[in-house]
This record gives sequence, C-alpha cells and structure tokens, in this order.
Amino acid sequence: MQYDQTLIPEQRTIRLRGTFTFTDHTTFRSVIEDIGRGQESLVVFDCAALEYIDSAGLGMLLLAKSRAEQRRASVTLANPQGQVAKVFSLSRFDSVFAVTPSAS
Amino acid sequence: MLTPSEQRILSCSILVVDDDETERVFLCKALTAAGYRDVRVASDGSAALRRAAEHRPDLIILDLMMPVMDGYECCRTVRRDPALSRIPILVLTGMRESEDCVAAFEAGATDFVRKPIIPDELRARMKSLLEQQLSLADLRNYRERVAVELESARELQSAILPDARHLEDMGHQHRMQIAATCRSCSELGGDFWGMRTLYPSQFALWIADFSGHGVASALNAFRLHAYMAETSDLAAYPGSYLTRLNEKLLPFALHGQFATLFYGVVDRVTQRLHYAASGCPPPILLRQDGGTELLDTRGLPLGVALNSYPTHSVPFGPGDTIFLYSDALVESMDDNGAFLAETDVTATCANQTGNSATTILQAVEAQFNAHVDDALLDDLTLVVCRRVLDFPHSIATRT
Repeated sequence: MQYDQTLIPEQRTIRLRGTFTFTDHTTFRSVIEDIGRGQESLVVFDCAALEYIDSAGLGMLLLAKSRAEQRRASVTLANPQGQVAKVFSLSRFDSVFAVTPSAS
Repeated sequence: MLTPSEQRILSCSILVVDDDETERVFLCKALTAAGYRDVRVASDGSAALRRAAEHRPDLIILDLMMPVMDGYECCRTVRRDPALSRIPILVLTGMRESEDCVAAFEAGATDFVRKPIIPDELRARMKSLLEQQLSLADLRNYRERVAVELESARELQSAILPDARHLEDMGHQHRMQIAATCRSCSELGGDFWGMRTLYPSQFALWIADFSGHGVASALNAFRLHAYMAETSDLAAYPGSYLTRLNEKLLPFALHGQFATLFYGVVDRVTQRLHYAASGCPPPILLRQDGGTELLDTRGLPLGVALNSYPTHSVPFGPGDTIFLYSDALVESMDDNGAFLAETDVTATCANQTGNSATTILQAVEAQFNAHVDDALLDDLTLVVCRRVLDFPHSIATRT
C-alpha cells in the first residue's frame, strides 16, 4: 500500500492506494503515529484508490480510529470502491466509522 | 574474576593440528596459559579428522604443511562433512606466502595467524572466532526451540478441529453427509471450525477466523474456542450466542484484533437453519432443486465494540447443502491479481446439484487449485454439509 497525506486546518486527509494487508503493518504504524501527534479534529481516510483490504487492514483502521479518539478526533472512511466497499459493508464498519461516498 | 561469557569461551574444546612436535607443545602451552581447559592435539590432517569426529571441537587450529593429509585437504573435508562443517578453522601460515592464505580461505578456512606465532595475537583471534561461534550456536538453538514450540502449537490447533470419528458420529446422528478439508499454511493462524450436537434433532456448526497471523492470532482463536464452549446455555440461539461471545471478548480485546464467526443451528424438526454471523465470507446454500443463495453474514466482527447480533433463519430441508469456507478461498490472488469470486464458487456448487458432499468439496477444491498455484498465504478451510433422507450416510475428511 502507498499513501499520502494533506493537512488543512481541522482535517487530515490520508489517501490510501493499492492493497492494504498485514504486510503494511510497519507502514501504517507511522500513519497512526502521525494521527496521534496531530491537532485536527477530523481524520479522513480517502479509499477511492484503495483496491483491496484484508482483515489485518481492517484491524489497522480500527487502531487508527482508537488512536484518533484518544485525542477526541473522529475518523471517516470516504469513497470505498469494489472489494473495499464490500468488506466495509460485510463487517458493518458503518456502525463504528462514518462511511461517506466522497472525501470532501 | 572471569565473566560468564569468558568462562564459556575458555571451556570450549580446541583441536590443535601440527606435525611439528615443538610447535604443538608451544601451542598447547600458550592455550593452557590463556586458560583453555580442553585442548587436544593431532599430528596430521587425517588424524585431525578422526579426532574431530570423536570430540566435535569448537575450534580447529590447523597447520597447512603436514604429511599424510595437508591442511588444505583437511579444511575441504571438514567443510564437506555436515556434522563438522560449522566448526571454525584457524590456519597457521608462513610469514611470506600470502597466496597460502588465499588458497586456505578457498579450502574453507575461517581465519589465519602468521608464523612465528605471537601468543597474544593467537588468543585474540581465537576469542573472536569462538564468540561468533557461540552466538551463532545460541541463535540456532533458539530457532530450533521456537520451531519445535510452533510445531506443537500447530498440533494443538489442529486438535480443536473435528476429527474423522466425530464427523462420522455427527453424520450418523443427524443424517448428514459431511466433507471437510483444512489446509494449513506454514504459519500459525486464527482459523477453526466445528460441529456439535445440541439436541437429538439439532446441531450447531461454525467457522471462525481471528484476524491477523501467527501466535497472537492462534491464542485469540483458542480464547474464542473456550468462550464458545462455556457459553453453551445460549448455543441454540445464534444471535444471543454471538452477542454474548462479543461481550466476553471485548474486555480483553486488543485494538485491531477481532474475529469473524458464522454460527448456525440446523433443526431437523422445523427443517430450518438459524444462524448469526459477524462479517465472515457468506456460506453458500445449495438447494435440492439446484437453487443457490448466499447467507447474510453482514455484522460487526467480534471484539470491536458492543453490538447486538440478529438471528437469521432460512429453510433447510433434506437434500439441501451448506458450504462453509474460510476467507482464503475468495481472498487468494491468481497470477493476474484476480480473486475467485463468490459467484464463481456458487456456480461450481450449482453444477454439483444432487451430488455427494465429497464430490461438491472436490469440485470447489479443484476450482481453487486451478486459480492459485502458489503456496497458501492463509489457512484454507472448506466444509460441506448435506442433509440426506436415508442411509447410507457418507463421511470424508482429509487434512
């Protein structure tokens, strides 16, 4: 998986690309650290270019969420496509995250 | 006062090989003076090989020029022998012949000391070689111990899966054909499945997967398995059962670790399957008339947050089949990065309408094998349960 981040006041947008699996643990750990150090009140994972996620990827999103909530920020999953949208729906992630169709 | 690691080095066994007796005595005295307690000698290469085979020294100090078998040949022979090949060899070379060193390294020497020997230099080289040798041996021992532990953990894990005898009993009692295969990837994992009689006319079947890989995932799987056994008062009520299991897992759940579970109860009186699920891949129902449907397994995985799980219910009569599978079936990529779709698997099942559970299982396995020819990255579990009207029942398990 690759990612990039943009930061505007009050919102951090993290665009995820490619496949998000257990091999991305180290990469994603630094994302979680960034979230922990941030000040913004909203963290958006833009999933438009994310092609695939497995259960380890879901677990890491949950980790990011709990880290954000420690400093009272909320997390949105935006624009999931294909398999990713299917997995979010199967796992009822909409009941623990805000899942939105676009990243705006 | 010597440190424990210095003690360890001085208790190493040293084999000194030199044809010149004066030189041998000099070396032995130097080593004994340095504190080495186990020093043995040999006067040529072939005598050295015999002694090495008997005593397995930790280090060989080897002269190059000797009668019968010289040092080069001795090095090569040691390196070819699997029992001796890891022993470091310190060769003694003449002052001027640098090509001796090159040839000695090519023959398998680990390091060299030039003659005339300066005892301090010899001791320093020996110490560094033996330190390396001991830490390598520690690492090897550690790896071997971990491998043995992981192997017994894998055996424990397969022990919580139903064995052939249990499936045979279940098949008899509930008039089912049951076929199952569990193909384990090399790692420990969080997958398991099972079946249990609740009442003479009712049985439960489940498939679970704890997220992640390795030891943590396997330990979590054991925890869920234990909770499932101790929550038997709710075992006939799938939704309440999952709700309770989730409550039990939550206090100890580590963030990011969760379980998907399908849990179904087949009732032969009402001819229905009641089930609840927490986000696992949807089992496929194959009807007696060839119709297929995917069960609704949408649900928050267990261990994430408090949640209430509903019980779903579908007709499940004689001739109907349920096919359970772990996510490896639909999450393994082929060479082009494509996945096997649930619709492909469903179509394969539909083509097997009327066939035995074993035949259905074989068809799906063949489809999977054609899709993925690499090593498994995740455990693959496939379970086919088909209700039959009359005996003979049939059972098949393969592992």
